[in-house]
Amino acid sequence: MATEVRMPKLGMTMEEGTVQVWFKQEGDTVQKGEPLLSVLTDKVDIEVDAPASGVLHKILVPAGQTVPINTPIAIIAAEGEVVEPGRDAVPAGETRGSGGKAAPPGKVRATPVARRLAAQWGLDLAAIPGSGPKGRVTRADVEAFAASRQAAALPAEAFGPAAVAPAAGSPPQAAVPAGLAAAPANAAAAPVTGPQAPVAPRRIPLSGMRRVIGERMSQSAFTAPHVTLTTEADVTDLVRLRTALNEEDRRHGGPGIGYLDLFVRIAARALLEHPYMNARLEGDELVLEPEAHVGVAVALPDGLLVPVIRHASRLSVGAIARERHRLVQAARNGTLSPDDLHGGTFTITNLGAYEIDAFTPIINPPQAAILGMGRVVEKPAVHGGQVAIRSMMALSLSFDHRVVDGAPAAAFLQRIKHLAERPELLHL
Amino acid sequence: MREITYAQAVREALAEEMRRDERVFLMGEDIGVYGGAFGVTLGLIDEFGPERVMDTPLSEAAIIGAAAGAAVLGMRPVAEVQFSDFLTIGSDQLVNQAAKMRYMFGGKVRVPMVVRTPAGSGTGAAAQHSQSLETWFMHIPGLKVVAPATPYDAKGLLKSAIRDDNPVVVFEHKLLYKTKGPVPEEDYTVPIGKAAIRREGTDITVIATSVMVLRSLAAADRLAEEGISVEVIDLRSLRPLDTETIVKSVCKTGRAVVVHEANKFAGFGGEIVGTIVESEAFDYLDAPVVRLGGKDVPIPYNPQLERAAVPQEEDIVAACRNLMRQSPRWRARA
Repeated sequence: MATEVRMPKLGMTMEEGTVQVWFKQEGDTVQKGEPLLSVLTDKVDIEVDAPASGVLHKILVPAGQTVPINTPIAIIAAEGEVVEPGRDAVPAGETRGSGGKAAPPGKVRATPVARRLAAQWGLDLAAIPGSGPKGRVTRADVEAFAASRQAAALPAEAFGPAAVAPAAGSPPQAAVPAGLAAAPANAAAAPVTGPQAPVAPRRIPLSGMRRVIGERMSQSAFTAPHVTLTTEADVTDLVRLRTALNEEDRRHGGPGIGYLDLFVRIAARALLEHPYMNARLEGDELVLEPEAHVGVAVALPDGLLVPVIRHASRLSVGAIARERHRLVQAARNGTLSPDDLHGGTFTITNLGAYEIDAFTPIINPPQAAILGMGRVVEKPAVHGGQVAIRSMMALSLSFDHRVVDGAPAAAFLQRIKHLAERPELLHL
Repeated sequence: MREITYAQAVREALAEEMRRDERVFLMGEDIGVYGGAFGVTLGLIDEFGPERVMDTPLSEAAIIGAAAGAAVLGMRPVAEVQFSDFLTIGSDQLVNQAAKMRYMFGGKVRVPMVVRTPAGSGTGAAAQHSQSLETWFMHIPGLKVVAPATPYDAKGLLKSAIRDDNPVVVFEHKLLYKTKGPVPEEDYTVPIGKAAIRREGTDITVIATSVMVLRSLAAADRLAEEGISVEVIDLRSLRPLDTETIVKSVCKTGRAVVVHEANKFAGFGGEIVGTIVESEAFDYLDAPVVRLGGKDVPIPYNPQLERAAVPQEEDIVAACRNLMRQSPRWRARA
């Protein structure tokens, strides 16, 4: 009996996966349980084991293609079995995108709302890859297409199928980070002058994470009207508090307390006091979340993840630091669970380590706002009627103007500033 | 609020309206001492006597015809037809007389009558006692048709029906008679022609009536666990139809499933789908509209087959899942 290999569901919210690499070729013998292919999901790369022993009869979805979960991607035939030819084809109705059966020439299969939106936004319906049955273009397809076009700071080809296929011979798992790491060395080694053979630009297949960041950031930037407020806080007392807490925490073998941990605590407190900031837009409704789950942006060599510190208002700064430490380690090791990444109600991004002051962070959808932390820097400032050397810090708050207006958002940022300037208020 | 059964709610509506208005009286087969085939009128004869809780011969034509005549002459009769299947026998009186008179006499007469009748399958009553014939009467100008799903609506809609100056057919579902729900003790009515949103959602609008509302709500609970957000509309009235609520909801969700117990072919689901695609909601549809209805067979007697012949909770779940599968990227929009 031939066994169909299907795109597995590897996480709670996984809807589609990209075949990254096949470890076996058609005709190879496979053993049940041995790695058969690697799959790229939203956030992680996972090896998928062969579900049966036999011969890899047919690969239905080549490397680089993205298909919805449960789509047949290969057929494993029992040793010596002849598979009837009909099995080679992906069943109609389950195909999608470029692999799907197109509508008759001149006709595009699209839902009414997809047609309306495409017309409204001046998009060519025929150019939009459809994810529905028989390649039907749905609302989400039009929106994704519009977002990707607007996000085209990247060359257009970057979204084409060719660019997604892994470069021949590149190691399957670490293609992107290894390639990036090698770049400066190559550049240094290359002769600076003299005639050169034309060098083709390097093309790096977009990882699942890169694509998700692209989709989500462009979705946010082009659907949520952003306003960014900045203010400067005198954090001299907070610096003192952080130094004391950090020393104490480390002495007890803790991971140490950072400014980020203090701001998670401060933001959680301010969010509960300003519930309209702890909100998201859902259709015709605003959903105000009763708990503050604060996401923290973690930079990785090839992207960015935002794991979530849950119930942050109920945690001590030490507990926040330990949870943040665990999440950062897991993000770097690629072991974050989907649950670590979902359910955030607000996000904090910290560029202080790069000597950045104010900036304009993009909201992490569907949240209402994001706080950008700038560097802590000593400056001459007026304090108690005197010019004194004070620790100052810029805070940037981007908010979704559909959800909240300028004055209440400003009041929220002001509360954060006050808590940062007088951290003892957190005990009230 | 106190909870009573659907049957008790109907009985309360009848009793309260008879106390409120002496022109209101009941007619039907064995509705007096016996209390009706489903016990709905039990005890009413004790309070109101045999002239106002009138046992009739076994003739639906006589019951409905007499009700229409009494209504024209100023009474407000409530006729019980023991099983809605028997409406076929009285349908000449209902369709050709009751529904027409107000029009044909240029508004000089009114026909303030109600026909209440138990409908639907699920009780092992076989093909001649289990049908859902609401579409027959929805089709007739001059009739109003309601199908309450809850005890609250059973009472409130029946009161509105009794106070209405036009003939109203009230389809009660046999499986609902024993269901309980909150019902106020003070006087209230539920307007005819106004649907109720029983559950709000963002991904799919499920449009149902009667017992299918309960099944749709149970299905919506299960789908919510999968992240599929279902809005459930209880139409309550089939004629006049609350198109505004339907269209508004489908504009929001972009997907619709219509569920009814009557067999799908030429059932009212088709009317709802037509209403949707003719409306502004067309431009918001992101998937074909789905109809779930009974199989195209008479209701079988065998309990397994009887169950399989009409939509169940799992059928609604499957239809909704299938709809969402047709938009594999829908979650990315959230």
